[in-house]
Amino acid sequence: MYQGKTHIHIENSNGSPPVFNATEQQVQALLDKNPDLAGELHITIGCSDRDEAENWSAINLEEYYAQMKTTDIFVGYMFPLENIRGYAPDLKVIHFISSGVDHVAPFTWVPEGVQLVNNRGVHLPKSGESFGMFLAMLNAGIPRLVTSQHNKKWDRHFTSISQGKTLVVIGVGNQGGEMARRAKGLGMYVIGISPFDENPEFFDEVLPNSRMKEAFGRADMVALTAPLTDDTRNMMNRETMDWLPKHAGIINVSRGALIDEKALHDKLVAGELSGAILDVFSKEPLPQDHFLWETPNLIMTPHVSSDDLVNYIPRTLDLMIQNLRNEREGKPLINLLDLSRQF
Amino acid sequence: MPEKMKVLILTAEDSQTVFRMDSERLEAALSRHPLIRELAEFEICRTSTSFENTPGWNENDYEMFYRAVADKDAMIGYMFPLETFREKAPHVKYVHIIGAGVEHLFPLTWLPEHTKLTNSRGAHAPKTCEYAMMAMLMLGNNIPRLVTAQHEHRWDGHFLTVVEGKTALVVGCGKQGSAVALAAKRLGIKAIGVDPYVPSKDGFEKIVHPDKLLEVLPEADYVFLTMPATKDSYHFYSTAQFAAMKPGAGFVNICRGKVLDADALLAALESGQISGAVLDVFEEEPLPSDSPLWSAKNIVLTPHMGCDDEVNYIPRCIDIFFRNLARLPRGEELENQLDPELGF
Repeated sequence: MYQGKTHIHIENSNGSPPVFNATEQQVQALLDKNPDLAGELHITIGCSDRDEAENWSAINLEEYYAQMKTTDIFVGYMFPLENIRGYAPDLKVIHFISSGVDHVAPFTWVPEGVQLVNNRGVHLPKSGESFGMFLAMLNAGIPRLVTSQHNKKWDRHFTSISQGKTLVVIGVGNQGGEMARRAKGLGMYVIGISPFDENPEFFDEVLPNSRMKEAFGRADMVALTAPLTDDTRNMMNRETMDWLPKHAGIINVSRGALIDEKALHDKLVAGELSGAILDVFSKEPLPQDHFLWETPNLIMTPHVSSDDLVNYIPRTLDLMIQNLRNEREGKPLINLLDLSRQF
Repeated sequence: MPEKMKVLILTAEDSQTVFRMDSERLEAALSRHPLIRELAEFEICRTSTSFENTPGWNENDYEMFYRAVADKDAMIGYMFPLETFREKAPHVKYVHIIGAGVEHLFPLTWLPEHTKLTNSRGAHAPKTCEYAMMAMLMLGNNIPRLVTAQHEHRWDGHFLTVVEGKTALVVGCGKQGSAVALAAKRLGIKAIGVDPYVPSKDGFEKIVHPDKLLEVLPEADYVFLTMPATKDSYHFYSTAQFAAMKPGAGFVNICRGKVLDADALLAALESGQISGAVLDVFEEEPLPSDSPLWSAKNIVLTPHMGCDDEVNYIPRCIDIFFRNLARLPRGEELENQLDPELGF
């Protein structure tokens, strides 16, 4: 608490693109939208030199610790993980501005009484558009056609509409649900793969991981939306990709480490998959000499599919305020992390 | 019982699946239109290649076609010898064209007065809608720019907002234009039309006359060309039109390559006046290997496949043809009849 007000500290990072950094104007807009709370909030914005807290400068750390002495709700991506209770005695909520939180796993550092919230769902309008686009591009053979263009080859390859095609979505969370919703909008049949017994909307079927082979055999496309965990790391490898028919394509919008990139490259070179669209990579930015730059029938976007330049931070702050209201009314927080699942 | 109409299906051995007419597709269409079984009998004439190809028909093909068409009342096809049509096809009173653009048949002086001519506009609609949706999203997400960056091994991370709420300008408000307007609507994009004959139409917030094109261009985030190629529309979209576009807007051509001045497009891409382009059609097809379009920056080329559905295109064309065959004996007006004066 800061002078009787709830202290919200937002930590921007110079290491992040502007889309992820809050501005004074965005904070003011938030207060204007919530006049009943405005008088009770103390909102501060800090800015670290870079994402990795172990490389923060002394002055950076000093400014951060000073704010955290009274902070109740922290909004950011990365911060010093040691001794949090010691430097932030009032801290109740850490709101990650990412939906993946693998960068702070394992969660042994979380002090008692601190709830962790992630940003899943904040991406939906933007990611939904990207997903619809990726599905349509893959179905229309655009990765192959772009490779043909590169080779100045008139490759009159015809396709049909997406309607009736089968999409397998790995992960049935918010991003997976949005992928499925967009696919249903195109008239596709959607199979989800989930280790949990779930029955989410927009999926025609949900199968356990143990039946992935069967699902892949029926797939025209596979979309990866699952979080990166010990179970999902490298799950798309030579063996599992061999389960897919030759005409199938792959979309990855979650984390690069879910795919064995070399195996994907080999499959595309050999024509054993029709195409792929990757938005995420095991190493980002993708190094200039990486083999994926030259992989045929592959379109790469530089991890931009889900983040909305205009609306990302406003939607993040809306979620943060909604959780503050929930907490005051004794309701559960939205997007509370289940630490046993790592997401 | 009156005699059945004799109908010719003109196709070629080397037709790709998307354009193939065969007994299987004919039988499927007859199952959808059982009445046609009573009305008409069919002969499939399969020449070695399509007439318009280079090299085109051989002697055998001519002979096969002339023999088959001699006693026919109606036919469906794409291209055939025009100068000899009156002489060789004396009974044909109805011709249906597989395709929406029919400029390859102009001028229509070969067409006897008693013969009706229809095209397949509208058959492309579902595929066109999906392609247009994809193209709008590709422009909204700077995919053409990212493809250029990928080509250069460059990580070009930059963020954009959603396409919802943006504006698309659709030049040509026929069936193709309507399919684009529907795509826009599904994405929450506003569609403005440009058309000399259609003052208003479902799906368009407004439609302006081509005289006003330069005035409405600055409103558009995405510009789509969906107009017919006629004798008056050669290089209709050129330097002045690109200059009038909103800086950073995107451009799509899915109708005919001839209506676009490709040099003006290349200049607008090079200067950064527009952010990207998606082209499905070209003045010369196949696009010559020395065309500068292949390696222009911020452009995605698709080889005239955007609006043609490999599975559903021919069935939808035949559906139009069959609906018209049913109208013929009743003397009703035909769907998609061409206006020889307008050229579409």
